[in-house]
Amino acid sequence: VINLAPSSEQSAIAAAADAFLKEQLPISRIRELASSAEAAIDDGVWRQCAQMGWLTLSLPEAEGGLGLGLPEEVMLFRELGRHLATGPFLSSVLGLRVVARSGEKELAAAIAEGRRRVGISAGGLAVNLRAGDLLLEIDEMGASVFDVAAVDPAAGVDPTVPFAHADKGDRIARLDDANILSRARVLAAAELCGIIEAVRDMAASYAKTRVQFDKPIGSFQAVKHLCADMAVSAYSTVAQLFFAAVLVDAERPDAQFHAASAYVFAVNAARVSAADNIQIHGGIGFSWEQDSHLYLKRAFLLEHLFGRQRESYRMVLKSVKHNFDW
Amino acid sequence: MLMTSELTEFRDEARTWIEENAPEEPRPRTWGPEVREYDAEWQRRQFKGSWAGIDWPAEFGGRGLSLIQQVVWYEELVRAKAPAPGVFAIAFAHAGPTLMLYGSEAQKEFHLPRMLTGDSPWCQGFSEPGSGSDLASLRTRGVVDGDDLVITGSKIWTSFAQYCDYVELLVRTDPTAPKHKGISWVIVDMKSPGIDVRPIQCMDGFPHYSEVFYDKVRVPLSNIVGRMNDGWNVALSTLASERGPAFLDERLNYIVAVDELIDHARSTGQIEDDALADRLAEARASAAVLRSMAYYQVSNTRPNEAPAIETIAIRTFYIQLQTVITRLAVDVLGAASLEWRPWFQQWLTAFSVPIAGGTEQIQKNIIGERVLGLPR
Repeated sequence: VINLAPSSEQSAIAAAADAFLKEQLPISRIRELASSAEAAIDDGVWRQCAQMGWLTLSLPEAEGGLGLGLPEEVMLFRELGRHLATGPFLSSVLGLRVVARSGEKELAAAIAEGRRRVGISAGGLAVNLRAGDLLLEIDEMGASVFDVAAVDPAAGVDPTVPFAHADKGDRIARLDDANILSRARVLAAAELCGIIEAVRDMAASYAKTRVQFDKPIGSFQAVKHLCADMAVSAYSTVAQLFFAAVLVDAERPDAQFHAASAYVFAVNAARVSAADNIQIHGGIGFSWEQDSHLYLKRAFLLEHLFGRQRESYRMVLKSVKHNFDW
Repeated sequence: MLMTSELTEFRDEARTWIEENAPEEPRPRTWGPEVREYDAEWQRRQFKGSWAGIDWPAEFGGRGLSLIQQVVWYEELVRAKAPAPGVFAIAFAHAGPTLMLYGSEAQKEFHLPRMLTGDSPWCQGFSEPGSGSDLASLRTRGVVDGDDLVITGSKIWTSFAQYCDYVELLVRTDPTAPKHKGISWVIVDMKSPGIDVRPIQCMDGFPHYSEVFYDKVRVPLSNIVGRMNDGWNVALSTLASERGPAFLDERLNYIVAVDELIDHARSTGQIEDDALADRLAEARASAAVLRSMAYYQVSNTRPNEAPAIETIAIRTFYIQLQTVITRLAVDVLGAASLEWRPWFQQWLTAFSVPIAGGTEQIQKNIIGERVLGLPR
């Protein structure tokens, strides 16, 4: 049986994350952090996230984790995306996996407890990397974690995320497991899914209250249909995301295909939804003070996190036939 | 969210049975009585093999199994390229579920088994020449005369009208009431005197639909389903059941079709064209989403309940995607599709899909208003 409805335990993870992020990391706070030297997420909040087990959800208990699975992680990352949470969540979760599987127990514990963070290498830049952090590199065959010799901050596209040029130091851990890239794609798709749902809700809520020609603009079909497109995108993205999550978690033979499909689908859906959301907001949507552009930029970052999109397309095309078995 | 392999046995059984029993000869690409005969024979065979009405309750002749088993059955049909329900589609997707909810005991007892056994195909009489998107403005009249309803008017875009035994007909039984309150949902025998079926030649060359004229057609009052003048609510449940896995095979076919397109592009070397390869990859990923959406919907639907309104997104997504995929197919063929080919025909036929069963634009209105709560 495949059941794609979240269980009550899985929903509880999302609800707890939602409550915590609203309280500790609202977008106003994310904007504050972005303009400060600390950038992204402060140590106190990061360690609280670690204490709640956010970095170790899918790690086996024997490796110091909570022994849950990728579906549970997906529930968390969807909330992280919805709230535009900053902080090296994706890279730390996957980096921790690489380090733990390589037998680096002490380092794994340090990451799990929030004492060390892991940034990620993307497009020649390091994302979410500070001096003293570790750097994750994902490839088709697995992933490596490096020490970092030097970090030189760079201006990046997403104002709420730190970007840097970094000199890699020694390689500390290597895991040969193509499944890592699939997990990465699924987690990124989960964040994108949260973004799509967030902009859908923002757009619909604005369309209900913004009045022009004596009517809420949501009564005009031109606006209504753009909102409906977002609802269709959200529903389809979440379905493929959940399906990919259970297949990757079960290490099924077609897991890589479904993970890549979930990712490219979420990327395209988020790209359109985030842009339409700006259009629906009109002039204010083009302003810095309104949040629409932050969702667009985060979606853009997630689109380019794993190199060229075409590599995900190649993975989608790799198999000869769709596998209907499970 | 979880996954276990406990249905593997069911799938294996289904696969073996389909391999051994699916018709080898393709469905006739003609429009004579042989079409109904072909579909009926295939349906009879499924019924005899206990594969008809997998998710229908046992009391109505079904197997009373889960929705997910129904989904697996459709997957196996599609994988084996076995024929679709054809002229029985409306009976399974519309009329059957509607009778289960609103039908009298006599109506259920008579009609439901005849659907499953392949004896009686149904068609749909909702749209009229003057009532398309604004369905509730329909004007075909039903006047009570003794124990009968006397029906006069015309319906249009009826699929398979020439092959069907019964039509689910919406008629205005109270012209004085507001438009949603004066409609009744009636079972009409297509062999009744006064019915005239005129097929309509479509842009792909085939007479997919008919115009059906009703001239003083007498129907017993006992053929009204639900209460008289409550037909709009009955029709809404008919359309709600359409959101379920009923037409899933039609959607999943696109998974197999895209696989074949990719095969074709590999064999011709076109797959080396990055731009085309990207489009094929997007199509394949999106086709996979059709299947995931079915699982997601079924996972969130309780047995014997219509799927939630938000799942209308599945159809909206499907009609957009089939437009993209059929166009991609003729693009892959390129100038070779100047000679009439099945893919060329499918591309043309695809133009009916965002119109039939509620236009894409009306669906987006429904999503905007009933899912997102936007004002009318």
